[in-house]
Amino acid sequence: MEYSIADQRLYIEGEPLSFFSGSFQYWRVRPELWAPILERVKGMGFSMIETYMPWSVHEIEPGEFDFGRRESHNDLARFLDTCHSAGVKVLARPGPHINAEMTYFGYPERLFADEALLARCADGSAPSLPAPPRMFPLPCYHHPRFLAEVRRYFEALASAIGGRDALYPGGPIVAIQADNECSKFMRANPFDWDYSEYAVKLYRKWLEARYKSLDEINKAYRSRHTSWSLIDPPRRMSAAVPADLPRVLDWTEFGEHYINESVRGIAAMLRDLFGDGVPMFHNYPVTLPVPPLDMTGAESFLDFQGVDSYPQRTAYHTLRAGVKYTSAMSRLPTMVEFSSGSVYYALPLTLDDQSFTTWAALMHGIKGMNFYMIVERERWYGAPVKSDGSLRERHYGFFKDLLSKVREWGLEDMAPDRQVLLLANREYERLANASTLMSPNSRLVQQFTGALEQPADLLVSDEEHGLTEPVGARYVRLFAFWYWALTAVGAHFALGDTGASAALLSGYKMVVVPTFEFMDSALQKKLLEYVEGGGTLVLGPRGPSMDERMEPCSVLARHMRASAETRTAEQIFGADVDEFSLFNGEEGEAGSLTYRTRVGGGSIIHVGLVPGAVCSVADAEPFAPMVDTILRAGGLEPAFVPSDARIDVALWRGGGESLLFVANPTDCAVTTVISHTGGARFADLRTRESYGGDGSFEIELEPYTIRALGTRL
Amino acid sequence: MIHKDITIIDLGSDNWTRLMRLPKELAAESLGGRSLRVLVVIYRGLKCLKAVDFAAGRTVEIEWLGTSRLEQLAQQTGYPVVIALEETALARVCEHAQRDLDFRDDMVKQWLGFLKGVSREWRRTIFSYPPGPAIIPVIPYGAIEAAAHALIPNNSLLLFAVTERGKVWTSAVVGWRDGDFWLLTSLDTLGMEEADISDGALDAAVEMLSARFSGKVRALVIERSEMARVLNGRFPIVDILLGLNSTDIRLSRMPKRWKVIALATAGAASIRSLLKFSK
Repeated sequence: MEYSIADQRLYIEGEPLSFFSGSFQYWRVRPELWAPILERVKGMGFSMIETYMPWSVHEIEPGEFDFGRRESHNDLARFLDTCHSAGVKVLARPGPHINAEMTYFGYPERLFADEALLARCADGSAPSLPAPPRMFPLPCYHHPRFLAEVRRYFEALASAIGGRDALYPGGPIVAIQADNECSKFMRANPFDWDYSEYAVKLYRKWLEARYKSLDEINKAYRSRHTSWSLIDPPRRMSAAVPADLPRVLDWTEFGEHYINESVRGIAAMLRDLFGDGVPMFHNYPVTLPVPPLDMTGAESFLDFQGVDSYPQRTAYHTLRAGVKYTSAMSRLPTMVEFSSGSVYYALPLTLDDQSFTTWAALMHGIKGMNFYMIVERERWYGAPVKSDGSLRERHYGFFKDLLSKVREWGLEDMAPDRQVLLLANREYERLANASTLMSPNSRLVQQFTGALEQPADLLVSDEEHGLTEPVGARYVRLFAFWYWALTAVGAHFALGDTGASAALLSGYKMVVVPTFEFMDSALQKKLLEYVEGGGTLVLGPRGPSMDERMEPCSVLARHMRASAETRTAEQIFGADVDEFSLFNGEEGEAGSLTYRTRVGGGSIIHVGLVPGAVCSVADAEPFAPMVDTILRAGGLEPAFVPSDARIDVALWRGGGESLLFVANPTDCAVTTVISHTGGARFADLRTRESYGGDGSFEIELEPYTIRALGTRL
Repeated sequence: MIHKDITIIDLGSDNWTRLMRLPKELAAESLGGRSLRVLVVIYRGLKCLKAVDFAAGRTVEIEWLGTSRLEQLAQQTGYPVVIALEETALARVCEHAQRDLDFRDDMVKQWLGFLKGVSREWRRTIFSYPPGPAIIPVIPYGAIEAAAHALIPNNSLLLFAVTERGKVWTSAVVGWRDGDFWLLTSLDTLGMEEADISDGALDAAVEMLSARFSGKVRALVIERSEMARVLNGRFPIVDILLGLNSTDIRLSRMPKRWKVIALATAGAASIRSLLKFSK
């Protein structure tokens, strides 16, 4: 199969693929219903479905598999033939981890009886996952015997479906997912697990590749190791001085490598069996893929990396942030699982939640969506097609309308127009992870209670570790501050992280990144090159004076000024802040909170602010004039700014057309005036209601609604 | 007790979201919009690492004087409840539970393992004000199992439905057979997600459920407004009796032992209210 990904679209045999699909789990539906149900799915406008292929269902005895010989609903080859005959493409997700709300998440039960295969916590016990209806211990993905077991299943599966013959155009499969939601099962606190033999071996190998020699690592750790095999990982956050941090941060970063290597190993097996002629992808279980998730790293061996989301409409901003992040960082920004109904024990989701959040995900740049589940099955509720083939009419109507509008409005050929990129700093994210209190709690878990709508440092320790301030806690607050502050001024911005390539950065006029007293030297150089190439870099509150090994480093700091005065626990712009610094001007004029320095073709804007907890647009509004000034200093004219800062606007362009999405993520009706430059005219794409082009227009929005306006600019 | 391969089907769409929201709604009603104010302190020795008011979603500045001064802390901060957790408390609880956990065990037994972990850490790394009992008793799994066997007749299906003017607002059907909860479904399984079950429709639903899942159906149907009255009223036994009389509460084939327990509970709550009222 020939495929390529360009401009965030997947091309199969030269044709762009409309990446909208729904989940249909064949083994939970009677085979005689497969074909009629597929017709129902097609009736909504889908031409692709997704299915897991569960190991525990197909393995009937160790090493003995049933693909339809014993149970007709296990006849995967027949299911794929049925899809192919119906003209329905398939996203295949063979695991080995699948969840699917199955007991033991699709792993054969017998694996857990083999103690040697299990991962280990710091105390030596096996980490368990408290998922109903049975908790189970977690396997180590780096144990050779576990991998051999997985391979045996994959070989049987490939053989049952005809290997490469199952791939499009000979068969229906157009992409394969390697494992599922690999994130250390959300128990992502670095000091929770995995301390098993093979995990520690991998850690030592990773250190060796990083430091090359024992001399180098001893220098970095201030240690006296005489052998790689004697280096043990830290078991708790125990950094008293900055020199202790490299060891802790390395272990935390290794968690990212552990996850990526787990997926890489599974992907390699699948490529052995199905060849390179099929896109390989993976999904994260959270919307905002911050460390230990590493989208850039994952896309170095996968074709694309997606995310999952099951948001209530009140979680608009967590969804928005995650989509902004994924749409900027992924080659093919995809919601591999997006709610169509929900699991019986999770937060309740209504069709109203779903209709608002689906459009919100599209509005902020998602290009592919797989609706989980489109066909209902046990342990799930609220899908448009029930397992007996009958319909939930309102849900069915929603999807039919959604897909027809996406195509009618040409969304797949357009892209969001954003000129500012807010970067999560992966080093400080790691420090915040390592400083997260109450292990096994992790920062990933916090996303389920609102990543942005509550103080980001709620469970991050304020310890300083010998630095001049609690960098982890202050960083997470600062990142949230910038998110809300850019939102409050109506800036069209994307999110990303410091793993972004130089090429990706150069696509934005302005990059905002929090900086504190230490920062990876290579990252500093990358950011400086961005500035020298003409970009505007907004950073602060500190100029980094040390590198990742806590050695002196002034790549960025030499272009920045020392503060003339620092004040703590005061108000600025009428808002409480933890601290702010004032800088004198070049001519020695009175201190100001920000200043700009020209470097090469671009400039650095230093903002000396350490905010308090900012958790909403209202919290950020006092800072709006400052942020507006910064944007203008970077040459960015505000466009399509609503008078009510709670209202959100996203502009899309493509093919000579423009689309303006206007969202009301509040629970009350809002009338707002949207200001814009030029004499554009607008029309609501649903109601055909038109708006004047005299530089501003008034628009009414019902609670939790998104309106799409077609514009000619 | 909870079957490993429990069948969970046809929970409906709006039906299940309403049911999931029901506890929160009822709690909000009974608290009258107030929330329980709890201060959680995460500490290491005499160092406070974070003090958090989770309900308000904010950190709180406190003067930490150690776990022996929680009463003083509660008075200083105005929080009626303070929970102090040593920084490793949760990890320790998990470790205790994980060391004993068997993936083949019933989930109730597995969760009891975590409760045992809390019990072991109680007053070692977990403290509270008000101080609570000296030890946290953990009921043996066998006792819970025996109680379930004694209370629930074998091969039962319990239909619980909340109605609004006779129409199903939310419902759940739970199946019990051979010592396990084996089924969770709703009236959606009969295509009755929002059906009118006043008059004879309830009897028809009971018959259909029985035919479909082969078990004796025991039904409790209550009007939504009546449920709020019973749960928040001062004399719940009166509300129950009035509800039964007015058919705002309807019972079908309920075992006598359940009726006795329900009336005894409501009676006890009423007596408690009466005593409180007379003071």
